[in-house]
Amino acid sequence: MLEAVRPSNVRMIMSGPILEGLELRKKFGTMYAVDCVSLAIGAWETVGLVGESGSGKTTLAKILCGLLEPSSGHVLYKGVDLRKLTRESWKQFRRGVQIVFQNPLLAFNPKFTIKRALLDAMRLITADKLQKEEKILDLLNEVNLDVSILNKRPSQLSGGQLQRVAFVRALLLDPQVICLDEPTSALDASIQGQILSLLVELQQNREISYLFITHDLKIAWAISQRIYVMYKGVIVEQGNADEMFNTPRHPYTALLFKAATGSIVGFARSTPLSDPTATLKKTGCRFVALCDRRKDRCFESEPPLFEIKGDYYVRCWEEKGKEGQ
Amino acid sequence: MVFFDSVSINYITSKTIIPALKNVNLFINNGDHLGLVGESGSGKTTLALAIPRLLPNNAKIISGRILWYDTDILRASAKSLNQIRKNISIIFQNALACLNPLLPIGKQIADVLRYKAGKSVIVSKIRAIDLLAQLGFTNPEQLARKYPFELSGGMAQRVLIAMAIAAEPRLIIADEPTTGLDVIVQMEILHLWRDLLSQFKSALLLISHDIRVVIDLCEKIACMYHGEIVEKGVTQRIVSDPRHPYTAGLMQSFYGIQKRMFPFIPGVPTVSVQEQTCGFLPRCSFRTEKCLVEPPPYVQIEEGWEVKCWRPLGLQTCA
Repeated sequence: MLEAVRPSNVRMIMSGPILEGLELRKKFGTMYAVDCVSLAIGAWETVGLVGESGSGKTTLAKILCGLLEPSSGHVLYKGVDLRKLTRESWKQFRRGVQIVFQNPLLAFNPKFTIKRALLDAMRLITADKLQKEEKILDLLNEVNLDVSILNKRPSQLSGGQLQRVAFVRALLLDPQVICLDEPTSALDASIQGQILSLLVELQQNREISYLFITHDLKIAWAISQRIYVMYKGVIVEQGNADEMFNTPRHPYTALLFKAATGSIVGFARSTPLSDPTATLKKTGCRFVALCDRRKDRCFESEPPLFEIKGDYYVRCWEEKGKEGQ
Repeated sequence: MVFFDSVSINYITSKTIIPALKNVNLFINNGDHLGLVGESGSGKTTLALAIPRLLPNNAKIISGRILWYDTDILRASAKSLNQIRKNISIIFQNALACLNPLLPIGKQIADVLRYKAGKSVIVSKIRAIDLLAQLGFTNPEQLARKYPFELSGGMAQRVLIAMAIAAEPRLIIADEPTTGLDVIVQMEILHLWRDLLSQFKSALLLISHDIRVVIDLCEKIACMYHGEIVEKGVTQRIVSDPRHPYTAGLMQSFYGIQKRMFPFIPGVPTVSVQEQTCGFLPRCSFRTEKCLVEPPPYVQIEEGWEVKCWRPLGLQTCA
């Protein structure tokens, strides 16, 4: 059994965020998948993004990685708006921010060998083929993969192996930020631990930041320093991971916490079944249908993000009086 | 009710023969709730599909028999197989893929009642709506007219559960019923299962690689690795004190995250054709020389608790 230790906060370099989203919105049809979300990823830190399916996690990640154009708002890479990047610095951004998707089998071209897929990813680098291959071999060694997989095709590898190849592909370009979109949810329980400790190990060896997307608050807490909780397109709680895990303040976070850690005995009794078709008033709090401490004002107007203490925010009317405590 | 008597099943492909089950012995009693855990490729689904004989064409049963009460399922006639199948329900992982996209779901549930329980058209229609209400839907009449594409993953899973319990079968097989769902929806579905299991007398064979699901729902557990059952017994006992190195590793990877650690079992499961003495050998950190020579026997820890290992954990001092 191996144990992995997270990089200590002391070693973190706080020099302004590397990747930052400011009041991002993305409209699909008539509905906002992401509604006024601001998010920052600092150097050498792991940021968790938690929420259920349909909450806009993946859309947000795609916007931050430059794969989707936001309807409004700005993405800043090292302080510069993506829209204002020159052709050269756009390439820099593309190298610096990588994304790893949930299902590795869908993330690779089934007709390419692994070697070709990896070499393909390195087209942005000016180096001769020998150097590139050397780099691939080094990284394969680092993620404990055998060289023999290079000539195989994606379908010949297991899910865990292929997810490692996906990490290699992301790391080949020496990125500063990697967005990990549910990297373990398609994998077996015993493999999940391998992948998570590999991620921590890779981070210790080089100065990269992660945006770790998951629906499991427990995993988010275990791997990240700060967590953002998303619900229906908005951030409902954000702040230090330990603090959130010890005392979740927003009722939705509390529900996620209960689901991730508790036993099913007595789980759903206090909360109504989450029915996605439940109709909601446009103006009120988005969580009101499932909330167990709703008041009249929750139906009328949506709460803003209240700052509870330094860098800890909650979107709930009930937390308003507790500001500054 | 169901008895696996040293069953071995191989998958035959154009290139190789892949052993899926090796000498599996398992007994499911009336009303038992048995959880089957293991990684993908360990043979869990093959075992489950063998009961109603739904195995794909390239699966070959090498030896053994599967008894449903006194009938040998593997050699049953089409007629008696049909009778047996009426007593078995299966829930698959991808709920949306299991529903007919062209029929409203109320009709699909009613069809189960008509065919399996022999109810009339009107009775089954009413009962279908009752069932939907029982599963926590607030507006069952309206829902019964909806088509599968209008449902979310969690709702489809609940509709499938309604279909499974509709005819009150003796055995329900649930293959990864919560994988792919959100944590909160998962908890709701599991909670629903718990309620239903206390109401119905059906036996449950629950397949999952998530050990938490099994801890919460099943009194008995069987852990599979590489086509073999490596440990089986009472859930509470095994969870608190696993004896097989693989079960222990699985427990640790489950509980480790709560301590902010990521323990795991080194290596990956191998699917090799060559005969190994013990399937877990390449990944085992407790192996001895004996393991390389002879396949391990089943060691009985206590009544109904068996481990297939030469050196069950916690017993080294006694040996």
